[in-house]
Amino acid sequence: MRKSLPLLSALSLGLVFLSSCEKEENSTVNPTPSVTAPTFYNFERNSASSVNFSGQSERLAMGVELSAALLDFSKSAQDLQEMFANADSLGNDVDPYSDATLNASSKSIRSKVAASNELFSANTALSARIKADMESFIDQQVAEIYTARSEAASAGKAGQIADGSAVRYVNAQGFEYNQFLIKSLIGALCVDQMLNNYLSKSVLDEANNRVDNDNTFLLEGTNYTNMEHKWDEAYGYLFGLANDPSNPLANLGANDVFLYKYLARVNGDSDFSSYAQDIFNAFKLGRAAIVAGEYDIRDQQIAIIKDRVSNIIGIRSVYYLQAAKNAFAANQPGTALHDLGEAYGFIYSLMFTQNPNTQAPYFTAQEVENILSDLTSQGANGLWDLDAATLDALSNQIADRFSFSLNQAAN
Amino acid sequence: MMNRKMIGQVFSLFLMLSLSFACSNEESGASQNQDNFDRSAMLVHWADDYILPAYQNYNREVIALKSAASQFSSAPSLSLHNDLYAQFVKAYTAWQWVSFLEIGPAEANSLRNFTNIYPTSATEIEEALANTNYNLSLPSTFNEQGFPAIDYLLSGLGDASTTVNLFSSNANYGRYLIALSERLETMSTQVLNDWNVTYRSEFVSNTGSSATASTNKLINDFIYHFERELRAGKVGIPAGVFSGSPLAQNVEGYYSDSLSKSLFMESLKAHRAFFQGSGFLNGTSGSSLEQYLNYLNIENQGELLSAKIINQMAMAESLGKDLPASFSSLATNSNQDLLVLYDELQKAVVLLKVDMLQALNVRVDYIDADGD
Repeated sequence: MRKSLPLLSALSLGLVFLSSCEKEENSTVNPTPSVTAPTFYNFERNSASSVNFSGQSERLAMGVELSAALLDFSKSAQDLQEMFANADSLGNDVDPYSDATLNASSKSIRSKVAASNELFSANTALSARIKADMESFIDQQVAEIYTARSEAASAGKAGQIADGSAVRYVNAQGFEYNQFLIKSLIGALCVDQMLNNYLSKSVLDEANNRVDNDNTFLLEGTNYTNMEHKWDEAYGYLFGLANDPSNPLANLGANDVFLYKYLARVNGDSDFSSYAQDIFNAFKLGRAAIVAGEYDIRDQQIAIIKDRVSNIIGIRSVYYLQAAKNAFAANQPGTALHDLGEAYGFIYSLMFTQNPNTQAPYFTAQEVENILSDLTSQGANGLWDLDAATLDALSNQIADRFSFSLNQAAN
Repeated sequence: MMNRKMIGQVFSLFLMLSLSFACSNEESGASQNQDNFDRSAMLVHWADDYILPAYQNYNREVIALKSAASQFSSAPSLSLHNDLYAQFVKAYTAWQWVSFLEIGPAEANSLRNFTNIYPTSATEIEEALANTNYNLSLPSTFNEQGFPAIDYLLSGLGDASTTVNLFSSNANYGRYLIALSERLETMSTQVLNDWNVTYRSEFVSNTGSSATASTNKLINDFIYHFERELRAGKVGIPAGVFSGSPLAQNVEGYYSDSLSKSLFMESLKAHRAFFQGSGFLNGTSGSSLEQYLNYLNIENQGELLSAKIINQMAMAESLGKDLPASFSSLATNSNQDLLVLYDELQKAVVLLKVDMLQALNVRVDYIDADGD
């Protein structure tokens, strides 16, 4: 497969002109807005910024280091697990990162995996299973893939395989565990925390949050109300690594390996070229609405964010299933397996989405499990045994649940 | 940063590309309406007058390279180093004619990735030299083999006498050099044999117009190569078009220092010969993309599209001719000249990828996806 040169944000600009061919979006119409969003995500009080999401930026940065370490064959499984948990197996503090600020941080990826108030506060069993899945991806990466890294992979045999001029490392069933992990974390960490935790009413309006916010009661030692801070934390899980987090549409997707990166990818598709702007606008207006105490406007923005962010996960699931189908047809198995590694993680992430109309995930955990089982067990050689009909069926099954079509997602 | 002119051009390219693909949802990707141009005659010309003679020539040169490498390695001397280097240049030059033919056996064997990934990795080559335990059939070794790695062994270790001394004092150098040249020879022989024995007949008989038809696939390979290897790899990337600042070490034949321009010129010549149907090294001419466009009488702003494409290639050729031999020092000292050359190549890409593909009703089969 031909891989991209770093091609230019001009692409997305050019594509803006294509709206005539887009399927109509059901845009949410705001009533006469009594709140005005600023141009950038800057909010101040007492001449100082009232925005803070450093904890989110730190977790995303830990993820970037972990992502690279998964293909550093000098690492042990324990090294990688410590990067995931920022602690050893007994819970003791460790310094697993190359960035000293991250070593000094008390945050971790693991503690926020499948940890949202809405989905997991009363479902700790599922949360534990999901955490165990992530840890298993890490262990299997070392056990099955590190050991075979100098072999050529083929159906039923672990090793390395060419994807254009890139090299991919897969197990005997074609599983690229590093992709499984990082793409699953987009849902299990970023989307779950954003949509099912910080943008949920149970968190935003918890306890006295509304009254405190109306009275500008600031959290002790800070410059923000609790509700403002919750909102910022949601923002941070998407935009926390941007070059300029107050203006994340510049260099869209830079530095990140999680949601922000794939927002950029989806936004580069002419069918979805308003996504980045829509989400950014909604975050700004919602934050301004909180400052103004206009909670209806805030809630309308939440609906927009939930819709767009959930759709990103659905779109990329279908996109990679279709890309894999095309790569198999072109006799490029390395490319196909890499696409399927990405697809696996995005499909895993579907269980953390939230439909703003029903307040429920677009796919339940059980449905996701069934799809992943269909994906991985067509034959003894796993992903190698997939055929076009199965990939189309799974693509349709996912696209049918969303407002986009298979074709819109696929190209 | 890119200059504004370039941004404008890139922007307009994408605008045009985008418009040309607007509403592409409705295209099935299956076989499209075919005109009455004799694709079969064009495929036969491509196979017999360009592809096979070009592969035969390339094969001869890499066989000679292997022999020169083993002579030098068994008795390193300045004179044999000189001979070896001269043969290296001949083989690398011959490669330029077959590089874009990534179809059939070449595609199945990832020939280009194993032959010419640059910049090569000096670190990985040094590791291979030290532990002598390498498996050059693995994709993770793309950047420690092929011409760029041989370039490093011949010119990247120091001056000629330093190189001779290293080869004399440590047999690992010779062993690795021979392994690299043998691998080039093995892959080339395999591809040529496959063409001779089975693939030629498959290629010329696959005359349809679906995405997997020979014409559609090779046109895509040709344009892909023009865009990514010629325009970007040989010029745009070293000129910093995609990175914001020049990357002088990313030129082709970096360690030889004076090869990058001549390899570029040879590649451009090969693209033009293929487009015009003038055969390998001005051999036997025949049916071509130029004739195909003329048969359909395709005009572009009142001029034949084929003529515009040829003029655009000629423009790049005449610009290139006046440049110094090393694109690496050009990127460092006078990068504007490389950018101007890039701009001319970019104009040709638009004519080929947008106008020609539209006229021939061929879909692009590669996308600007991912990068991870």
